[in-house]
Amino acid sequence: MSKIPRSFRLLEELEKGEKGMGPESCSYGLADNDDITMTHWNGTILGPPHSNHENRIYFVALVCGEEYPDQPPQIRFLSKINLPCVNQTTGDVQASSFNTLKNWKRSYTMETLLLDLRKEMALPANKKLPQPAEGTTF
Amino acid sequence: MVYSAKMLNDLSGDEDSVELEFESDSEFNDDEYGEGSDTSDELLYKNDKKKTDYLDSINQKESLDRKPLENGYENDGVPRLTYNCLTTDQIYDLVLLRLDRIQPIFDCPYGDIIVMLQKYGWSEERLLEDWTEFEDKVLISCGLKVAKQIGCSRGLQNHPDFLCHICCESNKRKSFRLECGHEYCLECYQHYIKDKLLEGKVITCMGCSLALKNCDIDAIAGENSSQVLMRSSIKGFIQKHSNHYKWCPFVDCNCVIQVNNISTLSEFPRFHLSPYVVCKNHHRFCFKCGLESHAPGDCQVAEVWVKMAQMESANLNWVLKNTKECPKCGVNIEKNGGCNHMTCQSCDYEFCWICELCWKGHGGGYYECTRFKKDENNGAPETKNSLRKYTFYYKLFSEHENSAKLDWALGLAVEQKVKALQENIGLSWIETQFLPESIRALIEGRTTLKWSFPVAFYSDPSHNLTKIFVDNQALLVGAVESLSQLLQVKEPQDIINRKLEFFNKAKFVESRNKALSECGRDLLCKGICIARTT
Amino acid sequence: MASLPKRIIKETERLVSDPVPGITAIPHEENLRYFQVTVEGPEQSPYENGVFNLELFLPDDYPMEAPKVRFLTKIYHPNIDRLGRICLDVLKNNWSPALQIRTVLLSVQALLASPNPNDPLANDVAEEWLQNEDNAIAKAREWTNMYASKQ
Repeated sequence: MSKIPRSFRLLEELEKGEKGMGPESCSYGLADNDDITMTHWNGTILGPPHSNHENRIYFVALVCGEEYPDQPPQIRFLSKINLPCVNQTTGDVQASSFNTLKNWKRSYTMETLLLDLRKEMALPANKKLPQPAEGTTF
Repeated sequence: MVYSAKMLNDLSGDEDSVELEFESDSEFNDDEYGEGSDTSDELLYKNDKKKTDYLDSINQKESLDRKPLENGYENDGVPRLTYNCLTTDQIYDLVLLRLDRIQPIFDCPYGDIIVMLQKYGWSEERLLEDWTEFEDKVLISCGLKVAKQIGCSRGLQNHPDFLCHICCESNKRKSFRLECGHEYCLECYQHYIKDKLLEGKVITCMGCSLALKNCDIDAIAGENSSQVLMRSSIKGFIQKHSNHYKWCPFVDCNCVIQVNNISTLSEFPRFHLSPYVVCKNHHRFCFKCGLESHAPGDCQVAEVWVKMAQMESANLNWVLKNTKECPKCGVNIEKNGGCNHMTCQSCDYEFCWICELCWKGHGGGYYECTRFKKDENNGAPETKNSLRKYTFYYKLFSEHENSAKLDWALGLAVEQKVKALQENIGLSWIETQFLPESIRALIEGRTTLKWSFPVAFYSDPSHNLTKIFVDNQALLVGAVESLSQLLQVKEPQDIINRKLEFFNKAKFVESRNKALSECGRDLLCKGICIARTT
Repeated sequence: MASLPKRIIKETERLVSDPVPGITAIPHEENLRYFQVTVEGPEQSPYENGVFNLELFLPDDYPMEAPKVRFLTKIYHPNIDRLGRICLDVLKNNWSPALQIRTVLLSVQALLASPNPNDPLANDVAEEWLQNEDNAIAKAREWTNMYASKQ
């Protein structure tokens, strides 16, 4: 298997996001459509049902650095959320406590990341955590 | 002119051509496609006779030599649809039959004509039009003729030292070339063709626009490979001509319905009727919107309802679960049949799956839980109440959808058992037909019930006819649940013994189905049920 | 890393030994399927005197699948969008395995010489091109000077 370079990999992800071919429970796109380096991205996660996140939409910011996809993107919640893997002052998702970031693989995408965060919200241990008021931001 | 007007008939069926050749050519009739013919039921709706045989007409087997309708209308001006149920292979076979007739016009090999038809989207008319004017141009544009003859022979080649320009390897012995002289190794050609077979377009030489004919494709990629290409091409054709052809929307069903008199389609909405068609696997669907049968609602009701469900999908997820706790003892109960009359295995409590209340409270055949009770004393704002109302109806809608699926599975299982019995004790096929017919009546009853909830939702609740409609709903629920319960009978011999019961209950479901459908149509015709997005 | 197909080795060699005038394509050392490309703007086009950087990648299925190509230099062109994506038939439906890296890059250069605003990728640019061609061409020239000048 050949290694697809960063930019063409990001273009593939962008196309999937733009055409809405991904799942309905999350979305993502470039933060700035003129950004030829495709570094800054926005994402949303729809809170999973049967949890305290139900019906909420969470906004996140992603940064795909030079080493992406060999290295995971940085991801930060913009909407306030109470999750063990999220730093409660900055909103950063901490790699040390989130398996998808900790054991990142080249085949993972931003979509993998968003869907896994959504799974994290739905975990039995997390789904009933008290949540900050809807619409508040870090 | 060397060809008759009939030959000019276009398979693609332009908007204004009412009759397609497959219908008009008598030899394509039912002899060859006998299976198709007995499902080409036509739908018969009579406006002036509301209580007419809505269902009977559907189940009626049309005689093979029925007279064509005058312009697709009945005497009373109610539209009727005539259609055939085909598979892609059958459509292709019909094309091949046509080839025999048009071949003398072209005076080309069959393989060439297939390439030309494929290039012209299977439109004989357009092809012939161009052909008579610029034969040479057509041949070149279809890749059947090289601009400059260089005298290369076509086909598989065998050189010991062939260097392929695609893979740049020189150790390949077998290669293939067309008259253009572009020659590539067999492996590259196979790789190249593989994905293209599914695209359905004319495959050309890798080096120029010369076309590969079906015989070339089979020579390169193995026998029957061209069949795959033809199938994909016909699929593309169907997609492009969706005004004449539609796929059956049911999962894993490969039927294509071809409507002959599409000009009548526009007449249906006026009567609040939908152009339902039935494929040979007995799947009924609406030719206009492509959804399953949505009677008593019309396409408008169905469309608005489905849109609303999509918008509310996040809120509605909870509705779709298949397990519930027993309201009495709390044990987890999974629903494995369509019947909503539940009996807890652990405490024997009998309850209704939908409203979770004691089954006895439903009374003999009267089903309270299909009624929406407005919360009188909560003083909630109207929007909240309307969402609550929608959720209530949506829950019913999806419960019956699930029930229909479960009934279908159960029905298949029961049918298997009875088939075994049939073989063991030597029952004739005809003696066991009551079973699939009952299952069909049950599924159709459930589908009508399911779509009756959108109608109820959009109807003015204060109107008397709405009340009658709700009563009719309750009666159909009763009929359906009673038949569904009968299907739970485990012992095949018992099933045979209760044949008459099956028969009667199925007939009852059919008549209740008909009554509810007509009542719903009445609501639409009188403007009591109006579907609009909020 | 899996060995490079002979086809790619040959093409790469030829790009070096027999380069196309106005075009360079050099593979990255750590990824021989990934090329750094420069294309000179064609004469008598608004892109004249510009040198445009592109990147090109040969996917696993190459040459059955087309190469992927993108502009890295900003360019004002109706068939190239703000991220440098190119709308060109040979990169999509009209790809043929008999085409090569060099032919593709020549097609890209030809696209610079003859923009096609009727089949746009960058809608705003195409609109300007159709409504006020002189303005559009002036702007393309301006961008070429700004982002693609030779030194």
